[in-house]
Formats: sequence, C-alpha cells, structure tokens
Amino acid sequence: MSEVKNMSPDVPTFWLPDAAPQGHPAAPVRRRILIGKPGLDGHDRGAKYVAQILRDAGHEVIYTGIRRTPEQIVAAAVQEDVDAIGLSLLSGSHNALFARVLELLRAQDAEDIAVFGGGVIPDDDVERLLALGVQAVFTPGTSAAEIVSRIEQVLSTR
Amino acid sequence: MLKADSITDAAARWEAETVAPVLAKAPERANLVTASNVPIERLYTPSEAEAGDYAEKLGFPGQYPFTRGVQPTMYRGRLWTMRQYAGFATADESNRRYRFLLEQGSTGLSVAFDLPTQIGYDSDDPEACGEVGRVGVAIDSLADMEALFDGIPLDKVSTSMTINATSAILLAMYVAVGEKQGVPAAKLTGTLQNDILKEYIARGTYRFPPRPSLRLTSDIFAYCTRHLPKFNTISISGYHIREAGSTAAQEVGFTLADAVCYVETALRAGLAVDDFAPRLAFFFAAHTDLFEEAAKFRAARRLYARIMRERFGAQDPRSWMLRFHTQTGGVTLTAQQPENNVVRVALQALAAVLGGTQSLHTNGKDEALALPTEAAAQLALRTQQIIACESGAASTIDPLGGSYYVEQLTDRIEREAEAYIRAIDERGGMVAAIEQGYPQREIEHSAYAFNREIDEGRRQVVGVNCFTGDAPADVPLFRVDEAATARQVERVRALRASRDDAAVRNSLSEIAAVARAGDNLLPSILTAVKAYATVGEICRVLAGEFGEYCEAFHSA
Amino acid sequence: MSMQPTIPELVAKLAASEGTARLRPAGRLITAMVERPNAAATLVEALNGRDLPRPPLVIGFTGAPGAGKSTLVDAVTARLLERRPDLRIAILAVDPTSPFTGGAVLGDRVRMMRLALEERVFIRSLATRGQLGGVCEALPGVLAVATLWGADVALVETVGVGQSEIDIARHADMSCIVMAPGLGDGVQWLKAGLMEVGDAFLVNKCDRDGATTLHSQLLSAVESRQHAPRRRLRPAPVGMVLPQVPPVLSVSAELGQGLDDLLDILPLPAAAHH
Repeated sequence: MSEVKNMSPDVPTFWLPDAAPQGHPAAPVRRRILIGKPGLDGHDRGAKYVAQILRDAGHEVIYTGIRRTPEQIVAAAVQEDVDAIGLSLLSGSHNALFARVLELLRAQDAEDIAVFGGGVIPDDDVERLLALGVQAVFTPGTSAAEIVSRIEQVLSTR
Repeated sequence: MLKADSITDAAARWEAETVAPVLAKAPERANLVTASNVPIERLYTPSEAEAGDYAEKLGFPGQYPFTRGVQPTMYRGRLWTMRQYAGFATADESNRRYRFLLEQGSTGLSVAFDLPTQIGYDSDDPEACGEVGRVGVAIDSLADMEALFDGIPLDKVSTSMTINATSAILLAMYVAVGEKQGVPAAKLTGTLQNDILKEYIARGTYRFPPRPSLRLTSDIFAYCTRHLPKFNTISISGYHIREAGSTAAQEVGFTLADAVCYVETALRAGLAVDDFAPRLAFFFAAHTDLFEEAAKFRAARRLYARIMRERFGAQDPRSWMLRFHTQTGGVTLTAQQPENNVVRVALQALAAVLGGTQSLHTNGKDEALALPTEAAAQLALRTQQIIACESGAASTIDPLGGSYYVEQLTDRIEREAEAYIRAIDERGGMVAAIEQGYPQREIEHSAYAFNREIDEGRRQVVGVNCFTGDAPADVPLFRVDEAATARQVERVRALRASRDDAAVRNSLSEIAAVARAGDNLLPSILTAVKAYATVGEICRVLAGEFGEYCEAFHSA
Repeated sequence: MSMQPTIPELVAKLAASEGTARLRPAGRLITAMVERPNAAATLVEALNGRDLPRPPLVIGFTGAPGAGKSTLVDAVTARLLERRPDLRIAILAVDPTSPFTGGAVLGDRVRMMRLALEERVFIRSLATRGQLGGVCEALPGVLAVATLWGADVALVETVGVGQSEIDIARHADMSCIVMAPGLGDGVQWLKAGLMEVGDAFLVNKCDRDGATTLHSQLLSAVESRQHAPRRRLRPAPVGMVLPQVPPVLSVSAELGQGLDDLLDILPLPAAAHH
C-alpha cells in the first residue's frame, strides 16, 4: 500500500481502491517450486519456512511433506511442472538421495527442472552435490532473502 | 503445609519431616560453601513479612506443588545425571563411544537410534536408503542390541532410549539383553522416550496412526508396571516441540496436554493413576534466555502437580512430581562462528540446572554441522561438570526462587500453558487436536514469526545477523563411516539366513493375532525378538493390523 | 532463457508418448493453459483434426476448511483404482493465492502422496490467482488437458470455502459438498448457494462425535428443499440422472468407511474412454 502513504492524511484509506490487486505477484516472474523432504527425517521447520518465504516472495510452492521417496518427488515435480525442486535434509542422507532425484529427472526428460538443496550438509558434500548438478545448497544460517534471491537468479538464467 | 503456618514453622517442619529422612538415606555433598568460603544454606526463603502466598505458589522442595524442585535436597545430595545422547553407524561403533563416555564420567547412557530403526524399517529396506546409521545406531535385531551393550552391565547403568513408534520392540530387546546378562527385568533402570504424540505434532518419526499407537503406549505402561518397576515408561517430550519452533509456554502447554492424553489413555485401559504416574518422566529443551528457561521448568512442575492432584486425583506424591531430562536446544546452535556455541550451551545448561533438571545432555559446538566429534562431546560434558563443580549453582536449592522477575515469568508461563491445555480439551483432547492440526499450526506460526524476526534483524543472533564478519573457524567434523551401511546390510542379511525361520514365522503370526485380539502386545513382541525377528518384520506385521499414518498439511 | 515448446508441439508430444512419459508433456500443457494468453483457443486449434477422447466425468468436492476434502479425494481415488482397474483419474486441487503477494503454498498433495506413483493418476495443484469462486480461471483448459492425458474421471477439489464459492458447479458434472462434525457452524453454514448446487452431501469423519447429528440435520435440510425446482449451473451429462433429493452420505476417508456407497452414486463411465 505504498501509494497510500503519499495521500493527504485526511483521506481515510478505506475509501481508496485496493492498492494491491488480488493475485498481483510480488516477484518479477512467478515460479512454481516444489519443496519436499526426501529420506526419513521429520524435521520440517526449515522446509516449511522456505515454503512460506517463497510464497511471500510471490511464488507458487507445491509442498509435498516429509518422508518422501525420490521417485515420489520427481513424479510430483513432473506432474506439477515446477521450475525448481527444493530438497531439505537434516539426517546426513543427502548424497544418496540427491543423486537419485537428479537421475530420475534425467530419466523423465526433465533436467531443466533446477534442483536446490538445504539442510545440515558439510562443505565437502556441498562441492560434491554441486558437481552432480545441484544448483545451490543452502546450509544452516542462510537468510530467507539469500535463498529467495539465489533461486530467482538461477531460474532467470535458465 | 497449612496456610496459617508461619514460614519459620513451615520451614522447620519441612526440615524435620521431608529433609531429615532423605538425609538419613543420602547425605548431602560435603563442603557446600561459596568460592569465598561462605557457607551455603540448603534453601533461602522469604522473611515472615514477605511470605505472602509463598506456601501455595512455591512451597518447599520435595513438597507439593514442587515449584522449587522435586527432591528435598536437590543437587546438595546428588548431582543431576549427566547423560550424553549418542549413537551412530553400527552397534559395534556405538558401543565403543558408550564405553568412552562412561570412562569420561558420564553417569547414564542415552541411545540415539537411526531413523530406519525409529520408524521400523530394516537396514536393507529400500525406504532406509541413505539413512542407515546416520543420526543414530542401526538396530535390526536382538543380535545388534547384544553388541550395543557388550561389556556394559545393565544393572550398573541406566539407559535412556530415544525410541517412539517402535519403542515396544526396542524395550523388549533391552529386556532380552538383560536376561542374557543375567540381569532380571525388575532390576533394569532407564527411560523409554515412547512419546508418540509429539511425533505427529513436531518430529515426524511415526509409523502407525495415533489411536493404535496409543494402545502400544498403554501396553508398555501395563507391562512395565508389572515387570520393570524401576523403568521410566515414557519421557513426555517438549524438546522436539520447541525445536520445531514453539515458544516456551507452548512447549509446556503442549507437553502437559500430551501428558493428560497419556494419563487418560492408561486410565481407560484400566490402570490406576498411582500405579503408573510415578514413572512418567519429561524431557524439555533449554534455550539461551536463562531466566525464561529456568522459569519454564518451575512453571511446568507447578502446573503438572496441580493437574495430577486435582484433575486426576492422584494420591501418591510421586505421581505429582514432574521429573525431567533436559537437552540444550539444537536449533540455537549456529553454523556461523561455531565456537560461540560453547557459550550458548553453557548458558542453556545453567538454565536447566537453575530450573532443577534431573538429567542433562549438553550439545557439541559442531552440531549445527554434523554429529559431534568425540572432542566436542567431551567439551560439552566438561561444561556440565564445570557448572556442577565450580559455579555454585548446585549448592543451594532453586537459587532463582523469589526473584521478582523469575516468579512473574513462572506465573505467566504457567498461565499461558494452562490456556493451551484448555484449548486442547475444548477440541476433544490431544488426538483430536492433532487431527485438526491445532498444535502443528500454532507451532508453525511461532516458528515463522521467530525466523522472520531473525531474518529482518529484529532479533539478534551473534555471528548470524550481528557481530558477523570474522573468518569462519575451521571446525573438524565427525563423519559417519560410509562403509557402515554396507556392513549393517550384510549383517541383517546374514542374520536372516542363520536363524530359525519357523520360530520367527510363528512369533510374527502370534503378534498379529494378539494385535487383533486387543491383548497386551509386549509378551508376544518379546518372544519374537528372542527368536531374532527384526524390527522391520515386526513393524510390517503391526502396520498390517494398524495401518500407516499419513501426514496432513495444515497451512497457515 | 530456454525456448518454451509451443502448445501444438506439446499436444503432439503428448499424443506420441506412452506410460509415464506422458506426464511431462501433460504437465507442461497445463502450465501453458494457466500461464499463456489465449491458451485454450490455441489448444482447440491445435486439436483440430485429431481424434479426441471423450471428456472425463468431472466431480467437484467443496466444503469448509478442515472438512477433510484432500483426504477424501485421496481415499475415493484409491478405492476407485481398486474397483475400476480400467479408469484413469485426474485430480485437480485448488488452493488460494495470497492477495498480498500473489504467492501460494499448495499443500493438498501432502495427503495424496501414496498416489504419486500410480500410473493411472495425474495430480495437479492449482492456485486461484485472484479468481473468486473457489476454483481457478484456467480450469476449463486444465480439464481439456486432463482429457488429452486420458482421464476418465476428474476429481476437482476446491479451495476450502465459504458459501459463495460455488463456481465448481459450473465445471463439474456432479458437485459433492463435504462437511465434518466439530467445525462449528454445522448446517448453518450451508445457506443458499451451496445448498442449491450440491448434488450430494457428504458427512466426512463419520466416526467422530456429532456426525450422526450433522447427518440428520443435513437430511432434513435437503428434504425441506425437495419441492424446490432442481436447477443446475451446467447441464447434466447425457444419461446422468440425478435424484430429486440429493443423497446424504456418511463417510470416513480415514477409516475407509462409506466409500463404496459414495462410489455407487457417482455416474461413472461404463467403460474407459481410451
């Protein structure tokens, strides 16, 4: 409602037309992004937070929940035709599971879907995952703004 | 204590009636003086003029409502149990870590199981892919459990097991290992986490739907009441609720609402409250806000005592006591400037001690990045030892009692927590509330707000959004041996090839039959584990009878 | 930015693919229907001269938040897959777009993950994107793509709504109103609107306290309208006869109760279309 602030203070704001029309996207390009947790760990605080900040940035997030297999995640990503998949993992099973997701995407002719990762992932493994084709890995403490802008930036170049 | 009592008389009576018998059995530690050699009193109380409603709200340690502690002498008698949560890879490797911790002065064990074990998949199940031995030790069968406790006499240690959906199976294995060591079940001490409700609320490690899972819980209560009288049958956990992003008051409110549900379940199963309530234990988180956290523990004790006495009519004072384990808050650890975590853990551990915890786990400084190295785990234990031996916090009971600030925080947390319990009662109890997504949604709101505050700089976290910029310290990380998975898979396959198949098959069909008949499942599970049926096999049978739980999504 | 395939290219790709390879072009076509201007017209043009399958039977599920629509759609689908091994099912689940940011969290899939790997099921989450009425503007185009994918039945789950979101009745052959005990308002919630467009009323979570009361309240509400003319926002499909008094059924998606009765009242196609 930034326009409203410049109006005369005498004008009650509720007389004004809605400054933010329904469905007006905050993001320059609205993306569809799947957020899921492969593996067995159930700590979904991070995954849910990322889903919410991407929503707040104007994107459509398909949230698939905890304890999903790579097969389920890729099938959902293809049906949902997402631009990106964000995988959150805290148990240390990332190497096996990320590799499987990337492999299944290739098999589905869906390599153009960008894969991002987040969670407790040591630096050496981050390198390994990037080499496998993961676009970026967000380790603990990465801010919401960084996550959103990195995802938007990667998607804008694809 | 009567209201008309003067506080001096009441204190004298407490000394004579409550403290003296305890001292006769367990004397206090020697030389309880300050660093400057000033003698430290057992308990400090208000003056006669200041006493006010002291008796109803605070009372004396070891007496209703237990605000100031559950034991009459608290740490002046015996320190809290220093219990470090550990476990990884295979049973052999974890066994070595346990022996190391015991040699270093740990006074209890706390077993971390890997996720496939917690959910009930064998190590060679496709569902277990990538997870074997990662966040805890992989246990597929009794053979693994025997290796886990090899050389550790079960009559000498108390063992806490973080196991929930599959707790009945792991408890049966522990009993079986005890038998093989010649330790009867009645002598086993320890704690089973066995808190399935918080799995649906916050932690996600469920297998079966809530209602049949609660039946397993009350089967365990009934079995332990008869056969393992010294074992804590449940550790009702706020820790994971807090980790998922709740506030301190939500942590208390939802945890005690879970407790209400367990008590009601056991009562419905025909148990008498004073038969099982003394062995209900609790598990909370300690975060860095020292005063709020200490107040939280005090509030939880007072509120629980009132619930047990007034709502459930418990008569045995031990049924009123909220005894709890504390772990310093994993989510408070930062990956940035990890050395700072040492200080956070020290403050959190101090909060737990000031709040009167019965046992404590301190996190390693590197745990935002990986499981702790041996060195980090040792430093974490040293942190507890410094608080115990040097800080003086353990020399008198409830040192913060009477602080205007802490007492008001205590009142406030109690009030807010009670409001949550009421809200859950109105929704038809905790199971219904979970099905409606109520606690999940409340926690999600708090977590979102908290994270937003950090992201927007309204809440400061040192090294994360302020005082940043130092070069990151290079912390050596613990790595689980990747080959451990293959070894474990090999092990469970070899086991299946070598055991008596007919005995396994019979014991599994017996479990199915008992599950259908509605009788106590523990004896049949014990028979199955002794025949070396695996965790995965037993869970498959139970899932066939009970169904599998599927998460629901409750968006804000 | 990589080149987006055109709608005719995607139609051709879908027609030429088999099995799970059909998922990708179908998914992309739905995106085109939602995102691109005049997509439906382009699609119709692209289909000119092609042999088209019959459109699916469209069943709408609408009702208040918390009534258990996703779980019910999941359970109905699972039971339908068992009962009719010939049918393919498309699930279209609509969730609200934030009026402030334009973003959305679409979470209906969480309860349907067991269907994720079913070859005969296609699930797509859709955001309202500012459309009032409980569905999304692109729904007709999306249903067209579901037809091309080979859906015999399409289950459309609307936004958890109030009583004015009745647009589903413009798109569905049959609209099911889902209710559950313990949500507060009971039948009060069913003012005009929903009451008029409902072809069936489902009391979900029928094992819970209050379900019987809700069922009988609904019955009397439905019967009190039995002399009012039955009007439809969309003509009934050929051969589909709806009773003068819409049925009221008690079901439990969670326990699998009443699902067969529900399937019995759905005017399912006698044979698969493909």
